[in-house]
Amino acid sequence: MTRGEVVPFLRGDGAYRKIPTSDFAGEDAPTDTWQVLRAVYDAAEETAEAEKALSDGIKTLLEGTAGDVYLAILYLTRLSLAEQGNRLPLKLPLRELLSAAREKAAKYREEFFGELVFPNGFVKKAAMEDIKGWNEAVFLPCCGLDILQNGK
Amino acid sequence: MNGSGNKAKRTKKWLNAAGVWLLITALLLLFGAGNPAFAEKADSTPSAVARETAPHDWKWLGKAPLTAEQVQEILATPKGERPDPSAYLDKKYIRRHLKEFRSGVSFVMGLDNYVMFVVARKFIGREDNSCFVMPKTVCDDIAKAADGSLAVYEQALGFEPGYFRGHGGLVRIDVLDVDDLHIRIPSGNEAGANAWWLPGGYTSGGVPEAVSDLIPKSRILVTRLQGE
Repeated sequence: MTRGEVVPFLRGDGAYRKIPTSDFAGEDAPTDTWQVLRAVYDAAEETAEAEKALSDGIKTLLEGTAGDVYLAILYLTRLSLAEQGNRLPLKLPLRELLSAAREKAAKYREEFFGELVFPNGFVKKAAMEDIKGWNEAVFLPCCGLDILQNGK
Repeated sequence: MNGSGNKAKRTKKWLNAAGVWLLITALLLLFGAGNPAFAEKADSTPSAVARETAPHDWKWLGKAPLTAEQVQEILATPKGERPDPSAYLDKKYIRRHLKEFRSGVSFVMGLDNYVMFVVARKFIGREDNSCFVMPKTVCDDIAKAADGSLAVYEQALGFEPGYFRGHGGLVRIDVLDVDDLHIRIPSGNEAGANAWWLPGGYTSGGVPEAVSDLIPKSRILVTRLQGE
């Protein structure tokens, strides 16, 4: 993050890829997003820039490919759950980021039904199933926000 | 004659052991060094229970009937091209290993992952029709030893310290009816096989593991553990 490589770090490009340490972790993503966020939380204890770097990184992902947008939504899901459980040690503009994510989710709706290939080679199939699930299980109940804009 | 024969056997046994430890060192350098989580675990002083099941301490060695060379060869084969376990494990071993899973399977995950990757789906597992599981009896033993402590689960199953607290708690999933789930020894080609995967049906911490087909959510029993 200090090298200004937030997006590759968030996306798990090359050597930045975080591997879940347990076979039973259950996350199905191009990088272990929990390890990434924990690293950001640790960095935030050292420098005030980490918070803004994460926020800017997610904004940049939201301007990227369908895969980047999927990953941004995954991070926002995790961050929303942490906020809901009073476990989020950062102050992030989550509403603003979620609104931007809603726009991009609509833009890439078709791509989310196909295969998303990430720079580190990870292939995500049927991303829309995840996004629909997160919408119902997380965004609607905790934020009152329909990231799929009522299925439009 | 007998004395020299025994000496030769002892020497051979010692050389085999030395070979295994050389492999361990190489694997540690490959996968362990530079991984902060690993360093954290290596420096920690876990409880007696956790020590018995500590992750990544290569307790799997000796549990699966594989030579150091076989392990090395399988790990060196790119994911997707690794051989079926029946190519290097005998039928008796496979049968005995899978018998442990017949009375039910379990796995544990962070609460956030449960919400994100179970609640939101109809089936549990990954897109390649696989889901890593352990025998329910093993999970029962860990639960008994843990007595509510999330740290013991983390140590036993290879999660980073603080993982479950960071996820808002732990969720245990049990499946009792496994007859049609095609429980099998992992080949290492599964989507969920990560850099820590080892051949032979054990995690690097020595926990028996297998892979099942996607598990219908209607079949799972869910237990939530908030931790102390």
